[in-house]
Amino acid sequence: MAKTYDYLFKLLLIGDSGVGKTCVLFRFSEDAFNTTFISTIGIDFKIRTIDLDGKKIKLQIWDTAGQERFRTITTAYYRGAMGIMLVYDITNEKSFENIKNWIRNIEENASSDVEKMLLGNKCELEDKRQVSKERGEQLAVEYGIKFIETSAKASIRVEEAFFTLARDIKANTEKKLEASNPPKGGHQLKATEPQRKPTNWLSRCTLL
Amino acid sequence: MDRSNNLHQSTNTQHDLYLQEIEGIDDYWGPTFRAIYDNDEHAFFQEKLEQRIRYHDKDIERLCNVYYQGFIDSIRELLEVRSQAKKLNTEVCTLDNQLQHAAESISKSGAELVQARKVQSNIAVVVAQLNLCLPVLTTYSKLKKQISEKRYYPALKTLEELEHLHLPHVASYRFSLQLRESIPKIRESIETASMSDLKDFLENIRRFSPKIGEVAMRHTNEQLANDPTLVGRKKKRIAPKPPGSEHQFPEDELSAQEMIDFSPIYRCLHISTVLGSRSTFESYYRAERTKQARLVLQPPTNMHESLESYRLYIHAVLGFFILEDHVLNTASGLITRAFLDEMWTMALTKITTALQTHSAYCTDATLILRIKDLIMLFCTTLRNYGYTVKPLWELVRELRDHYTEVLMQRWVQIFREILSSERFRPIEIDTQEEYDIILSSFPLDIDVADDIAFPYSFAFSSMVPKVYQQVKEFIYACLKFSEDLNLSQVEVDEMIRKSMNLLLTRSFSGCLSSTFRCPHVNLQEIIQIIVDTSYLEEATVYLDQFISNITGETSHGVKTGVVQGQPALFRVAREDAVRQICEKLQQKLKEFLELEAYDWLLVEPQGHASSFVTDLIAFLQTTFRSFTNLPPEVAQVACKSACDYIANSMLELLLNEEVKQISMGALNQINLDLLQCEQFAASEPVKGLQEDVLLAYFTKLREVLDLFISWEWPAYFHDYGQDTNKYKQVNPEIAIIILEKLREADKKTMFTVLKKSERDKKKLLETVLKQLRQLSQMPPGKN
Repeated sequence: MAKTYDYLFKLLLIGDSGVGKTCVLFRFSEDAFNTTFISTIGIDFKIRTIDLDGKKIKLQIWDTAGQERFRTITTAYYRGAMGIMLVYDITNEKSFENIKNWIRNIEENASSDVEKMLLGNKCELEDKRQVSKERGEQLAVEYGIKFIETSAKASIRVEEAFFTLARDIKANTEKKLEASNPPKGGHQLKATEPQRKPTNWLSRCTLL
Repeated sequence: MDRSNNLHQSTNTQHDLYLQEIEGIDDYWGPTFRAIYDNDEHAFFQEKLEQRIRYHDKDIERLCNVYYQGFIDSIRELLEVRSQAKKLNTEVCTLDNQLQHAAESISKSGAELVQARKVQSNIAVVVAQLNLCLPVLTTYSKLKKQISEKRYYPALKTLEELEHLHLPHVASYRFSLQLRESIPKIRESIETASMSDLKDFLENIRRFSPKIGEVAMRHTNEQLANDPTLVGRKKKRIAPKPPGSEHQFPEDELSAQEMIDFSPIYRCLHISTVLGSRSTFESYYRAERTKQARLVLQPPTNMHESLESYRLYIHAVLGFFILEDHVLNTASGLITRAFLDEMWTMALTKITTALQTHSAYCTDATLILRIKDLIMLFCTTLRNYGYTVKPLWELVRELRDHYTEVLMQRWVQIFREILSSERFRPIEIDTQEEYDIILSSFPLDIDVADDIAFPYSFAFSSMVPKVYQQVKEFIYACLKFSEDLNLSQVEVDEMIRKSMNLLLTRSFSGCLSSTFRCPHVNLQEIIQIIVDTSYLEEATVYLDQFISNITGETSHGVKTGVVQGQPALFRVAREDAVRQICEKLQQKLKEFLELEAYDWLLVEPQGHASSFVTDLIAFLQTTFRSFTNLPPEVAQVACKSACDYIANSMLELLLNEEVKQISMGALNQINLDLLQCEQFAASEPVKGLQEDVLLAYFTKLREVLDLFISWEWPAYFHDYGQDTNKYKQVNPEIAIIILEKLREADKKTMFTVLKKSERDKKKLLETVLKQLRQLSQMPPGKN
C-alpha cells in the first residue's frame, strides 16, 4: 500500500494544568480556539500532515493532562516522543517555575535524543504578564533548547513553533539515517525504519 | 054595404097601428112604409097622416098659448137680475183692489223668505261636502308628518286608509285626483326611504357587529367565570374580574343584540310586506348580508401579526352571526334557518381556513395561547347561539399541535443555549447554600449525607438541573394550552406526556447530537453528557410524578415501568451519547490505523508489534483507565466497538485490493500486532467484561492468520463446514484473496530459487487455490 507520508514524528505537549496545551494543539490542528476551559483527562492526540522541504510529514501530537493525578499515565508517553513542547503560561509565574520539574521528568522518562522546545503561551495577555520574554529566553539557553512565545488565542507563532520543532527532528533523523545507512537513493520506505525503532516503547509488553 | 063598411073599419085600425109604430120608433120606419106600400094604401094613409098632423098642430097651438105668459114674466125678471149683477161686480172690483193693496208687503217678505231658505240649504250641502273632504286632508297631512318622521309603516297604513276609505268619497274633486295620482309616488318614496334606512342600518350593524361580538364574548366569559360547575373542574381558573371593573362598560347590562336598534329592519320588512315586494326585499337583504359576510370573513392580511387583529376578526364574525341569529328569531321569515345554516357552514370553513392559515405563521407561543383562548370563547359563545362549532374544535386541536411545535422550537433554542454555554464539567460547590439550591432544583435520588465536605462535587454538570427545570417549564407551558379546553384529565395527561416525550426524544436529543458534531467536543465531554443524561433519565420518575400531580391522573408511567410504549425520554439522548463515544473512539482508532506503514514484502518480522498498534493499544488502555466516571456498561459498549473496529480494520488491510502481494514475513508481523491486540482484549481493560467477549472480535482474524502460518490446509479442507473446524470463520473467498497475494509475493522473491522443495510448495499452493475455488463456488450449506 502506498504510504501517504514520508516521516511520522511523534510530539508531546507537557506543562502545568491550564497553560493552554490543548488550545495550542487545537489551534495547530483545527486552526480554531475554544474559550471554555476544559481540563484534559488522561491523554489525547491530534494528527496533522505538514509539508517540509518537499517531504510529507505526519505529526502525531500528544496532548497530556497537566494535572498531577494523571502524571503516571502521561509519563508513559515520554518514551515514544521524538519532540517535546514544554509549555508555560507567561501570566503564571508558577507554571514557568515548574518547567524545571518538567525538564527533570523528561530526563527521567524520555529518550536522550528527544528534541525539546520551550513555549511561553498566552503572549497576547501582555498586561497580565508575569514572566518576561528574557527570562524565558534565558531558561531556554540554559537547557540548550529553542524558545518561542506563542498565543493560541490570537494565533501567534503557533505554526512556527511546531514547524521549527519538526524541522529540527527531521534534520536529526536524516543525519542519523545517513550515519547508519549510506544513501542508496530513493529508499524512503526503508528510511523510516530506523527512526521507528525507538518508538516502540511498549514493545516489551508483547509476547515475542 | 055592410061589407064595405066593415072593410073600412078594419082599414082604419090598421092605420092607427102604423101611426103608433112611426111615433113609437124614431127610425127604422122602413118595414112600416113597406107594409103601407104593399097594401097600396099610401094614398089613404097619407090622408090619415094628414089628419094626424092637423091634430098635432092644434095641440102645439094650444100649448104655446098656455106658456107664453110665463115667458114674458121670466124676461122681466131676468132684466132685473142684470142690474143687480152689475152692482155686485162693482163691489167685488173694489174689494179686490183693497185686497191687492193689503197683500203686497206680505208677498214681498214671502219672496225674501224663499231666498233665505234657498241659501240655507246650499250652505248645508257645502258643509256636508266639506265634512267629507276634511278626513282626506287630515289623513294626508298625517301621512306627510309620518313620512317626515320616518314612521314609514304607519305612513303606509295611513296611505292605505286614505286611498281606500277617504278618497272614494271625494272622487269628484280635482285635488282628489291629484292625490290619487301622487299615491304611487309616495309609496315609492317610502320604499326608497325605508330601503335607505335599511342600508344605513346595514352599515350600522357592520360597524357595530365587532362591538356586539366583543360584548357577547365578555358575557360568555363572565358566565363561565360564574359557572360553579366549571370552576370546580379547573384548578387554576383565571381570577374573576375585580368587582370594580364591571362598571367599566355601561352597556354591560345590555345583551349583545340589545345594543342595536333593529327597528329599521322590521320596518322595512313590514313595509315591503305591505307593498307586496317582500320577496324582493328578502332577497335584497340576504344578498346584502351575504356580501357583508364575505367582507367580514375576509381576514386582514396581517392578522397573524397581533392578537388584536385576531380579536377584531373574531368579534366581527361573531357579531355578524349574533345579529343574524337575532334577525332569524325576530324578523319572521326574513331569513330562514336553512339560509343561515348555509351561510354559517360557508363561514365556518372560511373562518377555519383563515385562522388556520394565519395561526400557522405564528411562532409566538403566548400569542397562540391567546388565540386559543379567543377561539375557545368564540366557540362557547357561538354554541350559546346555537351554531355548530365542530370544525373549530378540530382547529383548536391542530392549533395545539402547532403550539407544541412552537414550544418545541422555543425549547430547542433554550436547550441549545444551555448546551452551548455548558462546559460539561461536574458541578463544584463550596457552600451548603449552593448545595441546597442544586438539590432543590433537581431531585437527586440519593441519601443525602449529613456531613458533606466542601468543596463538594456532584457527578453531573450544571446542564442537568437546568434541563430538568426547563422540562418542567415546558410541561407548564404545554398545560397552559389545555386549560379551558374541557379535556378530560386522561387526555391532558396523555397530551403532556406525548409532548414531553417528543421534546426529549427529538428536540433535546437533536440539540445534543448537534453538540456532538462540534469538533471541539471531546471524549471527556461526551462522557460527562452520558453521566448527565443518566441522571436525567433517573429523574424521569420525578417528572412523571410531577405530571401526575398536575393532571391528577395516576402516574401510569411508573407502574408500567419501562415496558415498551413507555416514553423513551432521555434514553434516546443517552443512547445517542453512547453511540458518540464509540464514534469518537473509532475516529481516534482510524487516525492510528492511517499511520499504518506495513512493509508487505517483509522477509522477517521485527520481533515486536508495529508501533501504531502499540500506540493504539496504549491509548485505549490510558483512555479507559482515565475516564473513571464513565459508567461501566458504557465503557463496555465502547470497548467492544473499539475491538470490533480494530479487528475489522486489520482484516481489511489484509484484503485491501491495493495490496497486491503479501509475504509470509508481513503475515507474521500482523500476527505480532494481533497478539498485542489479543493481549489487550484479555487484560480486562474495562470492568465487568468476560475476557472472551472481547477476544471473540479477533477470532476471525486469528483463524485466518493461524491457518496461513500453520499451513494446515488438509485440516481446513477436512473439517470444512463442520463445527469442530479450527478455522470455521475463514471462508474460502478470504483464503483465496490472501493466498493469491502470497503467490504474487513468492513470484518476486523466488524466481531464482528453483529448489525442489520450493517447487513442491508452489504446487501445493496451486492445489490449495484450486480446492478453495471449488469450495467457494459450491452453494453454501451443501456440506
